[in-house]
Amino acid sequence: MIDIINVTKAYRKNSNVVENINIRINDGEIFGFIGPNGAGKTTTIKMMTGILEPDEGDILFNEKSIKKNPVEAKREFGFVPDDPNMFLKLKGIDYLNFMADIYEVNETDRMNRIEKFTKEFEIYDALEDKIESYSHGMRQKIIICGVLIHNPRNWILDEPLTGLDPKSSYKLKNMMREHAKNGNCVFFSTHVLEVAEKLCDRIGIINKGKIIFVGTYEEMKKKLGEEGSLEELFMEITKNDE
Amino acid sequence: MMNKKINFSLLKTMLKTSYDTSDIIDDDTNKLNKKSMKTWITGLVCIIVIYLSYLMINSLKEIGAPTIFLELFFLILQLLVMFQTILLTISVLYFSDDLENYLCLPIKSMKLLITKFLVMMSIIFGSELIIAVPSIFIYGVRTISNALFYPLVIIVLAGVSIFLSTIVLITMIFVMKIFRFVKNKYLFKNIVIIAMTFIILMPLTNIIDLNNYKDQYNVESYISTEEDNLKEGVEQLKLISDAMTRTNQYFIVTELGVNALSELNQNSIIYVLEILGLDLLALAIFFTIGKFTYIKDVLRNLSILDKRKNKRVKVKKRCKVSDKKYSYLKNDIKGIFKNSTYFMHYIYNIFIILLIIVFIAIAIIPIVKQAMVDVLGEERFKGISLGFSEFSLIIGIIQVIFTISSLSLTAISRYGKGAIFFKYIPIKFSTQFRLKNIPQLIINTVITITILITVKYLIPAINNEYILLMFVVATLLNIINSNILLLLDLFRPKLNYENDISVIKQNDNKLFQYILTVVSCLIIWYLKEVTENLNLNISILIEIIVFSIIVVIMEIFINKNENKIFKKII
Repeated sequence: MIDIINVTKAYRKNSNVVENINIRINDGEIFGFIGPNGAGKTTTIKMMTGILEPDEGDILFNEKSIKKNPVEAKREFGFVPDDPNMFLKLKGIDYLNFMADIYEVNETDRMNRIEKFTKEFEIYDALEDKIESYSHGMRQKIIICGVLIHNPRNWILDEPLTGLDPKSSYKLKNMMREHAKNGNCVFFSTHVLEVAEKLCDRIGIINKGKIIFVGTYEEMKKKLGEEGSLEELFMEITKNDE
Repeated sequence: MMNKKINFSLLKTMLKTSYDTSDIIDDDTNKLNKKSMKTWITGLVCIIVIYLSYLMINSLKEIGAPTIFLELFFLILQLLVMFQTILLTISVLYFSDDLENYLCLPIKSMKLLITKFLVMMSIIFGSELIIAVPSIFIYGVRTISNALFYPLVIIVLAGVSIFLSTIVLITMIFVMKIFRFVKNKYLFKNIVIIAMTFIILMPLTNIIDLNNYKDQYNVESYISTEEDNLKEGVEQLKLISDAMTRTNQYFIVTELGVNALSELNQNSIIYVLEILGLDLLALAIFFTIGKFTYIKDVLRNLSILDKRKNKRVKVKKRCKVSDKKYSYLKNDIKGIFKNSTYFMHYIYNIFIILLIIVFIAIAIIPIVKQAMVDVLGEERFKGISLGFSEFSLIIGIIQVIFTISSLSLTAISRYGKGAIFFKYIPIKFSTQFRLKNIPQLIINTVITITILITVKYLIPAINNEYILLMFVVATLLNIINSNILLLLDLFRPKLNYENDISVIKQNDNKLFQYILTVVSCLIIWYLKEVTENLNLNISILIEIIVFSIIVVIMEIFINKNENKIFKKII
């Protein structure tokens, strides 16, 4: 479970980038976080993962505070950043082993998970190659495998489907569903509203640093009193907010 | 013919992508950028070089041996040009990031080679303009009244640099061929660099022979009258000068250059023409060989880079559990060794400087030792005692050499935007801080040990206990230095950069490292002044206590502010 409680962040005085956000992502739920460019999505995710410190409020992962108990809280989630260009000089297998060491995964688990995930994403045969020789999609896949290796209960994925081929994208979506079905929590940001519509149990829309809607797709339709795709409703709701 | 082969627009583009002058020259006004720290650092380097040259030239002039400066100048210049050529061959000619962009354009291999060569030479000439030209002009002003010196010196500098660079390039082509069996690109680059370094340092062993000459000259000279000491000093200078001349002879054009500038008559013109003739010959050989091999070698290097082994991985064998702190550190060190830019700037340069220190130690120390024996007498020399001034001087030297290495100064910046990784992994920031400092601490410890061994070799009379105490003080300074450098990188990280080299070359934090060295040396000097009249052991103890207190304060600061000090990584 992820609890975002009264979170506010300002880079400059009196100019909040994110203002008083309150969201609870329940276990067993896939939560889609959407919003226009510059709305505050990345800032929120950065605060959730400990990259940025909130000016006010707190974020709890299974009741562990990222502010008060950061190391424990960080063990509770796995984060896939939007830029997969990291540790390019390492071989795929070395990167996965490194991640497993950082999250203290035992030998048997890491062996099984490396085999399972890399075969699923079809990068198993490239594990002995350096990440710098991978394509963008392959880099994205190895980062995802690195996150999944410690089997975190909460997944935080920033634009995880960008650069993935249709097959891998389909597999990742299935894995997200499976993870939520097992009583875990998936929080992801996306620009692809169609994916959010089909995949998410609930959606959060952020605009100009404020949460303007949290609920299911059905609830959104009811609130706006309109029929239409999420794309159309999103345009409507963000237009109203301007 | 040549003109047709040079595409100036290609040259301009390559120059812009190969080295960034925007910090020194303002792009909008085309004038000196006075707001840039880089401009000030460049100016500072110029002033230091001019000042040191001025001191040396004056001293040598007083004893009537100013030409020793010319010999030394060319010895250092040729080493600088050759080492720079090795680095540029790797980073500009064979493994440059932009090569892939040019290979797909309809550019003939010869044109590409010529343009790359011009880029390399322009970088070398740029460095000479800052380091070499001011000091040789000072030499001209202080010792020579002939105006012919100035145009000649420019031609000689250019001619010598072109010849030496071309010879290194020709050698490099063969070294690249010899080591082509190495399939790992990074290992390949590092082997090529180290092999070339040894090839270049070979003639320097000549200086080591100096000691044998010394023995032949002065077997019976353990006399200590003032007149004989002076005679002895002049003889020793002559020995050093002879050794440099012998070394310079190996580089052919250097000797011609020295002769041209020291004689300054019609012969000088002949020497210069000889240099230019040798340049043309070397260039003809280089371009002839390069025409057939360059593109082939570049393509081979690129294919190594792009090659994906697709080797079946044995997961069972590769999955070994390590402690997370050990794994974190191993990954950091691997990142330095596997990236040739970082390897060259953080490991190779230290290796070269330590190698030169050892060479100089082997070559010069016995003469200095002998000179000390001559002056003090055998008995007094053996009983030489260490004062706190000497102790502080050695610590000061170690601190100055620490400045060469700046691993901690880019410990975070090296990861670029990927540095956010360190923010979301479950390892305490204070622990990460300590782990990130270890590579710098190791390098500085190697420097400390090398210097202390050299000191012990020079003055065996110093007790081992004092060598150990020097090590303790230097280690405390090492911790202070590394902590401050890492804090600087954390407070002013450079996470957005285009390529690896810019994180090192366009790093303004380096200026603060120089300031840190100056401040540390002032503290060492101040402690010496304050405690000099006390017992040596007490003085050292006070120094250890002062540095320990600084270390403890730093530790408390890091522990208390761990979140704040990692705040800029976003």
